[in-house]
Amino acid sequence: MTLKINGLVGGYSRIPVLKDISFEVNSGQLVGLIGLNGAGKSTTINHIIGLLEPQKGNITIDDIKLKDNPKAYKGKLAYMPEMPVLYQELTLKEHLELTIMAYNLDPADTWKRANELLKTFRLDNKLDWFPANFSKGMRQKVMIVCAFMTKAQVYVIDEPFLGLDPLATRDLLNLVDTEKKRGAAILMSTHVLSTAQEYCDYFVLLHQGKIRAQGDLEELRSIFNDKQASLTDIYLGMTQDGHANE
Amino acid sequence: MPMNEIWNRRLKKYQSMLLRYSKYILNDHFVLALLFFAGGLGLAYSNFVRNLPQKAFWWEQPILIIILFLLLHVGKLASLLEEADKIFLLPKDYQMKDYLKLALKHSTLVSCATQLICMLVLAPFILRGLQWSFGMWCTLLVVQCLLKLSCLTLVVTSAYDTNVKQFLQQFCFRLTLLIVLAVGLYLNLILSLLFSLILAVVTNYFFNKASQRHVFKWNDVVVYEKGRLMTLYRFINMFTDVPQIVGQTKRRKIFDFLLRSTSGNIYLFLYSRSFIRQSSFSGLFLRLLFLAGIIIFFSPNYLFSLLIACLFLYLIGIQLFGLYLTFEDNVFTHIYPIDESQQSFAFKKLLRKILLLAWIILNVIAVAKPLFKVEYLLIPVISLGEIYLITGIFLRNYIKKNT
Repeated sequence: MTLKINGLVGGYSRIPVLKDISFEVNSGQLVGLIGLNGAGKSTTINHIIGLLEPQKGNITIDDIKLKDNPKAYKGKLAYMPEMPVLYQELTLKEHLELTIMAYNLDPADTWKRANELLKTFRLDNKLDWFPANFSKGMRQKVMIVCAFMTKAQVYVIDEPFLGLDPLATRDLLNLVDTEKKRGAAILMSTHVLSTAQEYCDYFVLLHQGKIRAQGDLEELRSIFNDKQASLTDIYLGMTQDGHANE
Repeated sequence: MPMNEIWNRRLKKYQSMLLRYSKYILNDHFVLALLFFAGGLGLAYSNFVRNLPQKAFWWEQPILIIILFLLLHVGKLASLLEEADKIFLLPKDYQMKDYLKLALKHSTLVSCATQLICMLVLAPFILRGLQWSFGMWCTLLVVQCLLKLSCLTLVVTSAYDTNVKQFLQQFCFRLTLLIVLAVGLYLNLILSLLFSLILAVVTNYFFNKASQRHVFKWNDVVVYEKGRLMTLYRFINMFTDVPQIVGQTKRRKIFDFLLRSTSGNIYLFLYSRSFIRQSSFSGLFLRLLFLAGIIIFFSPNYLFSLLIACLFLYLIGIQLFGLYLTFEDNVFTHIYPIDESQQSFAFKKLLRKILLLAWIILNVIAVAKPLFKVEYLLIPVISLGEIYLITGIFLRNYIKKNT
């Protein structure tokens, strides 16, 4: 179970936003995608989930390209957007039913898992409500439940912490940890660097559409020549460096 | 920026929006159908007026009072305020009175025009049925306009925090309107004119007094304006797609039994729920079906019934095509591991079911009313063919053009 991004050049128009991006997310690994606003994180994610087509390079999950076998590719992937995306006219219960249908999951098993997740995120008494009317944090929790009930092989999580209360943040991190141990490959973009430093196994630092550096914390520290540096130090150093080069 | 400039900009934007949409409304076949309908009604009305006797029936005044009273509820206050104004205009809180005055002026003018048109429609009834002179009709028009001004002033007053109980105030105000109208029709028109003038002055006094308290109820005003616009958009939405028509989802639990059989196909699951729970689609369907049903019920012959049935099935079908695109901007429909062909298949199936339902209802009215004459059987046959045309070629072309 590996997500491989290989020489990706892409963007929304002909002028590419991403210039030659390559990295891997392996089974049992949590990779942090770090970068400023506009660095290209969301564009990278949109390429991975198939909303954008690469202009050059390719993206594979277990050596399958989206173009070659969309059903197999998409079936291995679960996505959690930065802004919760919900169906206006579906109740919470129907959102879960739809996910089960879409991913062809076993209803009995998945409902058991879903109920546990609902309980964890304190949504179990809201099954007949329209989640589109929930608060940001609660909608985010619905996204978490919908993504994690699929037991996907690859998770793509975009900025998950905004709007979550501390309890939900902890529960989400526990969930990510369990999935990692199960063998899922997880890519997470975030600005919350202290959390990223603590939980991610590997970092991809994006700046102006290019990868400035990648590696685990030790590797990043040696690239930036500072053995004590925190991820925040490295990140800020990198961006200021970038400004100086402009 | 001074308040009148903000108002002028808003008004310009609003009017250009209305102009843009009016093109769609005036272009549509729907107007033709309405013209037919209005023509038929007009004919019946003129017959009715011609047959009224010289001496007025006892029920003519009460009916007129009720009609005039209801007319006063036509036309709302257009404040043209938006959600974001709660934040961006907050520092202008104390100047909102100037803005509201402009809004009041505009809405009053528009409402007076509406009153004039309705009074023109009522003129034959008033002049002939009640044997009134033209001068009296003019006086009644002025009374109506003054009363409408008071109604609108009361609305702007409620933008400010007053200590008055809303329900009680509304009740007393409505009662006053009825009394003024009754005085005009039964006792003395000049007295009624005087009363309506006093009412306008009094409401204006309350507005001035309330606005001095400086507690502007942003939320209420914005909600009111939103409601007004939604009514307008929903009307326009019968002719063309209005992007603002989204929200407004209702649970409608009693229809859940219809949804049970939809779990085989993701898109059928989504579309059927969207159709039932989103007022924009189910409302559109019901409105058009209702209108068609009424026209067919009063239709003079089978050819007209056939024309109307086909026209409205076409309109319903074409308008519901918009449902196909509802989920296009939801990222999840693009990342589900499913066959894309599911979408058009599901949509066709649902649309056909909806149109068949309309087909059954319209044909029951069309065929049962003339007690099953042979030539009327042409209606179900031809309109059924039309349904397969709409869900076949027309739908295919629409999908090709829009995806």
